Amino acid sequence: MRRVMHFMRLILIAVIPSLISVPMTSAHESTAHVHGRATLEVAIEGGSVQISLDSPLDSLVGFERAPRNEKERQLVREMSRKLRQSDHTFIFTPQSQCRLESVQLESAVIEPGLLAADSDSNVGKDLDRSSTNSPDVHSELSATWHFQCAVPESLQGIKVSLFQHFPSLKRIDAAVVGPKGQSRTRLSPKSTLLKW
Amino acid sequence: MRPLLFLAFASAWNRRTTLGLMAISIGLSVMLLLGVEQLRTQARESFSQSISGTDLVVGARTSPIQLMLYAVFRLGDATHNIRWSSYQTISQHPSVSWSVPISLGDSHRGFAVIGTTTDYFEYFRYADRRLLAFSSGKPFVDIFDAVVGADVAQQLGYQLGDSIILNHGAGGMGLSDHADKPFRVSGILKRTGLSVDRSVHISLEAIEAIHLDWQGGAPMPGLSIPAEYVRKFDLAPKEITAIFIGLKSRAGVFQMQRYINQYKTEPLLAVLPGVALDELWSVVSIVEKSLLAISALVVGVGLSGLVAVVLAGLGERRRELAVLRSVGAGPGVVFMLLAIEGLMVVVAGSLIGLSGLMVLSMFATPILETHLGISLATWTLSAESWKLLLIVMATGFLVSLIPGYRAYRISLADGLTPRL
Repeated sequence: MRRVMHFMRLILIAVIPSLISVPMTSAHESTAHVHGRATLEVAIEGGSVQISLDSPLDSLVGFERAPRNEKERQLVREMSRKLRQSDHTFIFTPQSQCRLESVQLESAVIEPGLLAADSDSNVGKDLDRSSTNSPDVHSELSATWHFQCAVPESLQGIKVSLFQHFPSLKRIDAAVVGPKGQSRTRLSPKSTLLKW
Repeated sequence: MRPLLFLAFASAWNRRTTLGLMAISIGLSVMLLLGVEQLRTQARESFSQSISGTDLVVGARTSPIQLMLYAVFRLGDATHNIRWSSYQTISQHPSVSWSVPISLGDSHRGFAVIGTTTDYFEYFRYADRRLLAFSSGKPFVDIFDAVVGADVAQQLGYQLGDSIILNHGAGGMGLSDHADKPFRVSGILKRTGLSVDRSVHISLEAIEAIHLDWQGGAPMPGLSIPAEYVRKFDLAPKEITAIFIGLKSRAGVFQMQRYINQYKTEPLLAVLPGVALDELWSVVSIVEKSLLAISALVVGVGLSGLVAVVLAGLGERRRELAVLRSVGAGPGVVFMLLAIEGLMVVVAGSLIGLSGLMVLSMFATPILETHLGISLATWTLSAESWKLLLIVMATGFLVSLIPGYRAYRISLADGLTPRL
């Protein structure tokens, strides 16, 4: 019996890490850049809910560099508009009365003015950042939302409808730190509910 | 209904050997099914309890699961260590509430030796924020003091003040001992059901001290520093294996994780233990599901065996059923008799399976605890297990309707003079 248990233990040690080493993406800095996959971090403390999204730019606008023409600039403005209307993106338990306080969008290759809430069509026209970025560099967009909930006790889950707005997004690995501790959920277009 | 039950029981008693064997085979299959389910749910429970109070686990950069396995559950080994200076910087970060360094690598007669600080006993929390408690003695004070877990004390018969000798590395034959520097048991911890029970805790300075006259993993020939002189040396730790961190604000964990993962001087990895465990389960779930499917199939085999046995018995019982008909029992009664018989066997089988599982887990619990660090609660069945048990019984009843229907047809056609 002892020997069998020892053997099982060896298997556990040997097999599990090798199985796992492939899909690991939680180390933030070295997060693998996979088109179609994004990571979401949700931190809930008291009435304040902070959600951060890191996604390949490709999955949101279809390219990963500074926009080169008016059509691409329009795509970026469109994305920014969708992400800022997060009442449609994150649907909280209605009784919890959560309100959006602020949104921040950031990307290394896109000029901040273009991502701003009131970006008019002239911004970015005179800038040609594309020349400074080599076209095959991967780049990401990080978005941070801050919500404030009046009745945090009744907050039981968040429905994430990013997939509807960004069809190229296929998978979101979400880590939640909330009143019941830490958990991880894999979201897909078919399962969009974050519960804890 | 009562005479029917009596009749069914009396008839079944007449064929007790066959039906008894059938009940045992169903019992074994139920035991397998429930055993797999219990092991599955309780392993999760036990794993997630060990780390419920820790916000971040930090180690050298590796796979998050691997870090969790060696730092928290003492399964497998660390690939690299962390510099002591990194620990000092991180522990002084303003959002850190408490931090406990641990250093692994040595062992004592098969039990892991953990070098740590007394903060370990003060801050390390498990199972809904419970703190570690001493059943006797106190944390280590002197360099050669050791605090042992409940299992270590029990299995090796240690009491306060006993002298123990640590092994270098995993211990065992041919590997060197730290025999020149014995430790004294200064405290015994209360049982937690976690890997802590199977650990020997000493101070980080003690880890340095026992390796003072060592180099390259072996004692330096011709040099031996007696225990009474080690205090004259600089015993400040140089490396540790992992850090457990508790934060002031739980929601700040992502920022802290980013800070540690982007730490410039050394490649470090910070994992959220709850998240890493969920990742582990999502990988293991394939294995779990296939185990559960196999045991469900075994139950299916058991139940179809039951149907086969009762159907085969029908041939022999044609006369019995004809006699029943002659004294006024309708075909419906015959149908009921057979269905009741099937249900009795299934219920008996489930009871056999349940009691078998209890007995088995009584024997298996200590073995699982020592080798895998999984503690099982012997007498409680999870809601999911009850559900499985009900499903088995309901399916058993449903399939025993098949021989019931067959008997119903036979008794209609045969009349009083069955041709045998």
